[in-house]
Amino acid sequence: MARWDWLRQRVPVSLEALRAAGNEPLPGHLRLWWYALGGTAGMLFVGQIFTGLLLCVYYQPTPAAAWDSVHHLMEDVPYGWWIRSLHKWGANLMVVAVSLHLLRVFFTGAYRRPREVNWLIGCALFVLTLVLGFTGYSLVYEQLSFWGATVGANITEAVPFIGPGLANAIRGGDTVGAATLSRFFILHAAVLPGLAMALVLGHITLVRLLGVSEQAPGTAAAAKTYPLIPDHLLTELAVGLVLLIGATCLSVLLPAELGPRADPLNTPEHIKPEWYFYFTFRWLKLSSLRAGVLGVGAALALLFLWPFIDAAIRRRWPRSEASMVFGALALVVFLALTLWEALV
Amino acid sequence: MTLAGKQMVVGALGFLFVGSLVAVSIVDSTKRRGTGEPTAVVPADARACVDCHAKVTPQAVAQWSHSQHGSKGIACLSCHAVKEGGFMHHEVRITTVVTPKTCGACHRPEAEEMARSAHGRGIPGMEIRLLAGKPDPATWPAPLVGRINPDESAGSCIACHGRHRFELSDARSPEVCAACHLADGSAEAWRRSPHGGIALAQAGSPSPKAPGCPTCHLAASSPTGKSTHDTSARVTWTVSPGNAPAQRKDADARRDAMVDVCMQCHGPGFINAAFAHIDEAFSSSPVTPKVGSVPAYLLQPAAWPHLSPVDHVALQKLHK
Repeated sequence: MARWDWLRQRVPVSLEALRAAGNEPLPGHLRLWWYALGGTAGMLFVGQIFTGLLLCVYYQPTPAAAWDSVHHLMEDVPYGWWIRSLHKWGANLMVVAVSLHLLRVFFTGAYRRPREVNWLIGCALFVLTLVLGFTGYSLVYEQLSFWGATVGANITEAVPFIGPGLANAIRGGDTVGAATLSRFFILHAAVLPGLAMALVLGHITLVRLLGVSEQAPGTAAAAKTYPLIPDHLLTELAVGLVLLIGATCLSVLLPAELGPRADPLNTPEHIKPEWYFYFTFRWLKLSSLRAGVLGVGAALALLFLWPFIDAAIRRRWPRSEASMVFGALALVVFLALTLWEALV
Repeated sequence: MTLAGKQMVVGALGFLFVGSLVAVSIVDSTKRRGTGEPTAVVPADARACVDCHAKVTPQAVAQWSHSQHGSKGIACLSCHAVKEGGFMHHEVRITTVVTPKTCGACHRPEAEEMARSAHGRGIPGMEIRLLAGKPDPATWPAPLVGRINPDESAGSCIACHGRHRFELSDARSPEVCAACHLADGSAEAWRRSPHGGIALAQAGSPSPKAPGCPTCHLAASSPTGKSTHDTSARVTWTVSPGNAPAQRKDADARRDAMVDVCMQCHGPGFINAAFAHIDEAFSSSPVTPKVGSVPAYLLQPAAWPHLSPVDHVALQKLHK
C-alpha cells in the first residue's frame, strides 16, 4: 500500500471519513423509485452535459453554419446521430423526470417547513430545465426551431414593463438572427448549465442538512433504514443503466430529425413548440397575448410560493387538504391543455 | 431486494446496455460518410435510366441526385414517362418536353397559379411541334416563357427552377428573374434602386434586409399574406409590346396585396406617394422623352415600379 501512502501524504483526505460522512442511513421508503426521481433527473443532467460537450465539438453557432454543422454531425460524423439523439431524448426524459420529481414532492408534502427554500430551488431548476430545452431546440436553426424562437421572443414582448427590453436582449435586435444564436448558445452551453449545477449543489446540500423527508414520521416503517453505499448507489446505477438503454433504444428507433433549414422569409404553416410547452401554447391561444402571459406568470408565482400559501391555509385549517385539491386540479388542467394542443 | 439481487440486476442491465450499443453500431455502419455524395433513392423502374445516363448525361443525373426529388425517389419516369404521344425509348414511352402540366400532377396549386400569370401565357408562333413524338428541331429548343407546349400548356417551370435539381434558392434569386427581365428594364431598375443595392450587398445572407423580386411578388412576406406562383397576383398594370399600359382586372385587389407587402417596411404616406408616381407614369404613357439622354430602362414601363427615388424624379420630368 506504499503508493496509496504516497498519495495520502500529498492529499490528506481520509476516504473512510468521507464515506462515513456521506453514508448516512436512508429511510426505507427511498427504495421506491418514485422517491428517487431527483437522482434520475441528476443523472440525466450529467448525461446532457457529456453529450452536449461532444455536440459542441462540431456545432457552429452562426446562421450560415448552424444547420449545416448539425447536418454534418448527423450524416458524416461517426456516431454523431446517436450523440445528438441521446441529447434530444435526454432533454425530453429530463423534463419528465424533473416534472415527476416536482409532483412527488408536491403530493407528499415534502416542500413544507423546513424545506421551503429547497422547494424554491427545485422550482427554479424546473424552469431552468424548460429554458434549457427551449434554447437548445432553437440552436438547430431549422425552420420550426427558428420560428419557435421568433414566437418565443414575441411572447416575451408581452411581459408587462420589461417585455420589450427583455425580448430585444434575447434576440440581440429586432429579429432572430446571428446575435440571437450567439446568445442562445452561450446561455444553453455555459450560463444555464452552470446556474443549474450551482442550484443542484444547493439542492443536495439542503437535502443533506435537513435530511430526507420522512413518509410517516414516528412509525416503525419510517424507522427502518438502509445504507446509501452500496444499497442506494446500486439502485441509482440500475436506474442510470435503464435510462441509458432506454435513450439508446429511442435513439435507434426514433432518431433525432433535422427539418428544413431556417428561412426567415418563409413562415411555416404550422408552428408548434416542443411538447412540454404545449400547455403554455394552448393557454396563450385561448386568451389575448397579454392576458395569457400574465396567466403563465401567475401560475409560476403560485408554484414557487405554494409552500407559504399552503402554510397559511394550514394555520387556519390544520386538517386542510387544499394542496391535494389544488395539485390535482392544476395537473388536470396541464394534461388537458397539453392533450388539446397535441391533438389539433 | 437483497444486495446480491441488486448486483445481479445491475450486471444484467450492463449486458443489455452493451447489446444496445451493438444496435447503435449496426445503424451507424449503414451511414455513407465523407463521400460528399447525396443519398438519392433510385426506384427500380429508373435504375436502368440512371445507370445509363450517369454515363451519357452525367451532370443531369448528378443534379437530380442532389435534388429533393432524388432524395424522395421521384425519378426519371415520374416526369418523363407518358401514356400517349412521345416516343419509345428502350421500351418505355417518354417525352423530352416536360411541361407545367407534368409538374402540376404533384404541384397542382403552384401549376394553377403559374398558369394564371404572365409566365403561363403562350405567345402565338411559339408552339413546340412534335415529329414522330420528338420535338421538331425547327420549333425546339424554345424560349422557356411564352412557349406553347404540345399538351397546350404554356411556359415551363424550369425557367425559374432549373431542370433536374430544382433548387428553391435558385428560384428565389433575383439573378434568375434578371435572365428575362433585364430586357424589359425592370431588373436593371431594381438593381439601381435601394432595394437592389442592399439586397445584392447582402447576397447569401439568410436574413437579407432588402427584398429581391420574389420577396414582393411571390413570397408570404406579410403575416396574413400567402405565397403564390402567380407572378402577376400583386401587379396592377400590364405592359405588353406595342400596347399602352393598362390596368389589370381586379386592379384594386392586386394593389392591396402589394401594399400589404410594402407595409412590412414602409409607412402608408410613402407607399401612397410611390404608387401615385407610378400610376401617373403608366396613365400618361407612352412616354415621349422631353429631356436629353436618359437611361434606356427609364423609357420602359415595366421598370417604373422598381425605380429609385432619383429615377422617379427623372421619370416625372419625362412626363412634363
